[in-house]
Amino acid sequence: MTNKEKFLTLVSEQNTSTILNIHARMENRSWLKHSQKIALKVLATLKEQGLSQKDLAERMQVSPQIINRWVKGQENFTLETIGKIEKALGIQIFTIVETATTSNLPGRKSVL
Amino acid sequence: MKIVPIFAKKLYSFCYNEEYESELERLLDCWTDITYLFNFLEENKSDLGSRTISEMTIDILEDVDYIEDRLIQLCSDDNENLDFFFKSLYNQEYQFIPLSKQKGRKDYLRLYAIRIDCNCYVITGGAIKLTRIMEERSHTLLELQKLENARLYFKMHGVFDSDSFNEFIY
Repeated sequence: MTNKEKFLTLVSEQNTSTILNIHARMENRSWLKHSQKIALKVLATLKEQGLSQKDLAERMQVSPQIINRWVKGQENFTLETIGKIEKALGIQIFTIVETATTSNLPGRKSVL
Repeated sequence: MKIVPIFAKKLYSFCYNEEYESELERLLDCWTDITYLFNFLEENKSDLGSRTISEMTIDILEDVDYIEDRLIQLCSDDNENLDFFFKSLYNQEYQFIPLSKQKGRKDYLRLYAIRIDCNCYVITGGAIKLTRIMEERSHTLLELQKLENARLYFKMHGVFDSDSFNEFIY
């Protein structure tokens, strides 16, 4: 028996979905990037303002479990939710990049 | 503790925690979880130098993307090979060593593995490495212990014995 064959006798027959999960993250990467940045902005703001996730949950009248899920950076937020977070924390998360109406005018950057 | 396949014949992973199906899955889950990254970087703020937690988080997320893309590419393309990603843990190791301790890296991120054969690795763990030497921090020291434990486990189960050594040499 070769070294590798001996090793293979120790491997579980259980199938794993790690590769499938990687593919799923790759497919959703564009919106996940936004979600991660929103989560990061929320966590940084909570720290700056000395607030807990529970405080934010109370301000937004949602459960702490929901806030906990949001700050993991895997939530596909609606614009309504983003607006409510902005209001609750007094911050701006999104700014739309404006299209220049005349040539060569610089656009505004997102605050994300 | 068990070993599970990640990508047939090439990549395997230890599984220590029933909550996750593999150690690789656990690491990728942590490294893409903003709360985990934020808390980890906050706890290790003294190792960040002039970089802010937000800057580091964004960099780490980009590094995870790189590692995921690279693993998929190396595993699924027959012209590619995991030997291009994993390197010896010790820079002074210039020749093939049985059950060699290996690292795959991208900036601050590390995947640690044992090399079973050409293009065949078992992941033992991983870390966000912020210091030069693994012994300097408890979370990287733990990864060294996991590598050593994995090596002992394989030896104990006869994965590498004298016959294998001859196979290795010739």
